[in-house]
Amino acid sequence: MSLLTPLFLFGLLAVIIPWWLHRLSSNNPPLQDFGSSMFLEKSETMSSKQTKVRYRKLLSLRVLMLGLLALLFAEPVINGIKLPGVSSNRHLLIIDTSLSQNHTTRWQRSQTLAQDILNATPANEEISVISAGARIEQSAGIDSDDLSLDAARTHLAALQPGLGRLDYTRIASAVSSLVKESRLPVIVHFVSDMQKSAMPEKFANLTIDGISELKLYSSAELTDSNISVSAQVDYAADRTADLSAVINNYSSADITRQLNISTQNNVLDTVTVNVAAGTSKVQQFTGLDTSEANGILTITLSPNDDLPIDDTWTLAVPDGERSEISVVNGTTTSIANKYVTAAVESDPRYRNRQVAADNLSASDAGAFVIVPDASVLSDRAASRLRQYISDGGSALVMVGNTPHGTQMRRLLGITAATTGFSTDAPATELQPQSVAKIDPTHPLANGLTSNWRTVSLLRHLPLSTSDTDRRIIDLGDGSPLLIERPLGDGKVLVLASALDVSWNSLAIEPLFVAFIIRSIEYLSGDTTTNPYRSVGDTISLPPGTQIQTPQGVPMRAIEQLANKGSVVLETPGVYSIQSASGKKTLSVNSDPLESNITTISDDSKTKWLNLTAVKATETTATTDTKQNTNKGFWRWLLPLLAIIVLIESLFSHRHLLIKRGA
Amino acid sequence: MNTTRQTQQREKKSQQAAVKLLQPELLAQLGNLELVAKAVVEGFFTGMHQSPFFGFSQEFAEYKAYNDGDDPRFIDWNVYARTDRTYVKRFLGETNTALNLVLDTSASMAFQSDSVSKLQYGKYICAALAYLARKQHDALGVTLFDDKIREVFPPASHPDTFYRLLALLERTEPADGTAINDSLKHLIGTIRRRGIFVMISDFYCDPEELNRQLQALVNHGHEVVLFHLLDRSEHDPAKHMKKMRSPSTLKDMESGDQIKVSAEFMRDVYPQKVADHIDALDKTSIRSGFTYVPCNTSAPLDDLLHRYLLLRQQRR
Repeated sequence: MSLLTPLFLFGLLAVIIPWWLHRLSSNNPPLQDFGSSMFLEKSETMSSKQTKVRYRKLLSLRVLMLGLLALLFAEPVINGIKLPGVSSNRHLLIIDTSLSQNHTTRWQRSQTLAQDILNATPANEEISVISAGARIEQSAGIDSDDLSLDAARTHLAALQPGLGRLDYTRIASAVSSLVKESRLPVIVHFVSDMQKSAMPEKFANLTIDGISELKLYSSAELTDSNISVSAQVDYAADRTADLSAVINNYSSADITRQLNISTQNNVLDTVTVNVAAGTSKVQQFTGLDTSEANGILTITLSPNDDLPIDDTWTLAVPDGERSEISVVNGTTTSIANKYVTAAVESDPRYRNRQVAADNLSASDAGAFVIVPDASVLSDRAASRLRQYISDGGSALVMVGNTPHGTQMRRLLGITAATTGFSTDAPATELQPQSVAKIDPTHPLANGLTSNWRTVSLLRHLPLSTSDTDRRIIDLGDGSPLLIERPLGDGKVLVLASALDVSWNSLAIEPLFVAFIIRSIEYLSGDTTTNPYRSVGDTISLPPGTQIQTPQGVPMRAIEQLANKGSVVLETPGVYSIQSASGKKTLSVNSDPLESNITTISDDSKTKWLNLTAVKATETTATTDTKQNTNKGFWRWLLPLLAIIVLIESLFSHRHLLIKRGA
Repeated sequence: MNTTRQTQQREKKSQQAAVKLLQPELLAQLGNLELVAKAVVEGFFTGMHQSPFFGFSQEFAEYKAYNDGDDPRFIDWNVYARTDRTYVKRFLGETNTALNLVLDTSASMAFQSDSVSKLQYGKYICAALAYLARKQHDALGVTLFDDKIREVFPPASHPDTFYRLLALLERTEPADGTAINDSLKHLIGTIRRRGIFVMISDFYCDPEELNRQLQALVNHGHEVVLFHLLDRSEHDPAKHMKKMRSPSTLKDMESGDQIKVSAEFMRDVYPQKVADHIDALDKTSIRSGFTYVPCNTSAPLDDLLHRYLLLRQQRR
């Protein structure tokens, strides 16, 4: 039996009260009738210890009553009876199946350690095998309800190391949720190569809740070594590319390797690199001819080492074609439109495409649009824009400098027809405002806060905001300048001023191009710009976007394309992403952190074990409760309490000198 | 042989049943004094049917040859069978004697640690003796006293006397104080007819003074019988009452006086004092020719009757 709220047991101290009262009343010996005092002599002696407590039965009943009350409040639960042959512990055997475990000798050692654990586990105890790689799970085809040793051995034999990265923080959270419903004390056996790179920044994140013991088994040895390569495209245009390759030497000896840059058919370049022990070296390649690369370059180290997977790096090389950015404009001659178009075209990755507002649709405009001047759009265009965003599209909208239609005012939350400053007043007569508050965590402001503070604001339109809106930039008077507003399945960025020098200096600031490009990257969720997509990453895709595996297999069903979606990148290689705005490629490689096979120190392991031990002690009561059937005890205690109260009442009425009312 | 053994077993069972019925707590459940008296007396005789004792006055004395005019009911047919001669039994006291029952109803008689108080037990004794006397057509009288004489029924042979006596006993409740010797002084002067004077009390009084008072009765030819009633807790309080094993304040049920006593006193001294008192009463009785019957209210009544009749037989 255990208690859910043992603090209430302090209520047991209340038994002192009846005990004291019973002692108190005994100071005067009880008065009793006696036949005759003829032979009596006054012979009083002070009460002895035996005689200090009166009405012992009554006292016992009262103490029992208080005890039961305290017990009721402490919420006792009945533990299940442990029968012979019934499991008394549950073992979780967690095997690290991350990329680093592909290291030849490490995986063999892990298998041996795991077998030893299984052999040492009593046959009547529950055990399950968990693989911990990019995901933490049991192997497919294994009955998760079968917790026998045989099932565990089958499971273990089926395990293979994967290509993903393991972060030990995820182990802690996954195991904590796994053991939440366990009836038995949980002992976690973690077999891993104990990579230092898998450790979290905060040690506390390793805390595993709800387990009774953690055991760590390391499959790493000091003699283990690894050499890896990673690369990124520095520049790609007109079918030529510059790239940088980084060679990491995670061994105790200097190494010499051949570094090959190749397409599917040809080797473009080969160099010999020498890397000192425990260091990295950057090798740059310029002017590589990528005309036959089909967008894919492979960087390879030779000869391979014990972990060959990270000896190869695949790069997606842009083919030089610019992506189309949809710009919605009623009149192409608008000055705001010119500013936006120029900013888009300044980036070699993008080109401007004018989209008619009245016919706005996801299939035509793509995942997002830019509206340089919302004030020139008609109500019909505003409705189409709202529909487009609600369906999952995104938009960057500048409010513009002329009066808006009703629909647009409603869409943007414009609360006044004019600015706080007179639109008729010459700009020179207005007192300029500057940015007062910036949310630095937003991608549009991150790293640009000082640039935003240089912008001079003469006019803006007041916007009404709600709790769901995110205020990115506020002005000195507290009114918002740039907000992000969710709308249906999409979102809209609203700039509360116009791209007009009589309203503000934004368009002529260096910030403006960065603002537009950042907006494009943010709204498009442009994943191709990230050169380090790793195996196991999940990317989100806007509506109308398809993605193909390196083998050319579409990853999304046709019926899924109308909506936003997400896919997990499970194999390395170059993925192809197709959307209304064109085709992009995405290179996926193993996580470079997995290549770092440096192990954690013994001190860190001890700290981890101690941390879990302390947590296990703190949660003993909870674990004890979970290990059993947790049957509420109060159902039996309440009637018992009632019976005792009744007996106490009858007993008191019968035996006390002062009778209670019947 | 078997028949004899079966008969003996039956008789034994019968005796056991009778003894069981006569336990004071069982008698208390009967509630009706007449029933109690019948149960005691009939049960007593069921168990003691071979006893040589029979009744108060009609005690066997001798055989006499049958003459005309003798009551043929008294012919002893057993003797006739053996000797072929007719004899009639002759008894002592062929003239009915008077049975004076004197019951103490003072407050101390209300004391009880078991199911039956001393007064209740005294009532049972009165009823049983009265029943016996009635069977012999003896005159029956009763006197109730506490610190004074409360009720007096002079001895009478009327058949209703028994029931009036029972009715009186039924409605008798314990009174307040007690003054045995004072009451006796008044009572003794009123007794005219010689007979048996049975006094039932807890005798919380001076034995010598009691002796002086009763001596006058003996001198007038009365037979004095003293039934000394005590609850078993009065013999040894600490043994039979848990409360007495701790320091207590005891309240005299008659005077209302309160006395604080130690557990040691009640355990060691008090029982000896009571034993000395009983011993004194016993010695006084022997010296003065009284029949002294100490009674424990937990003891079966038939056992008491047996002891009483045995004592009388020995005295005779």
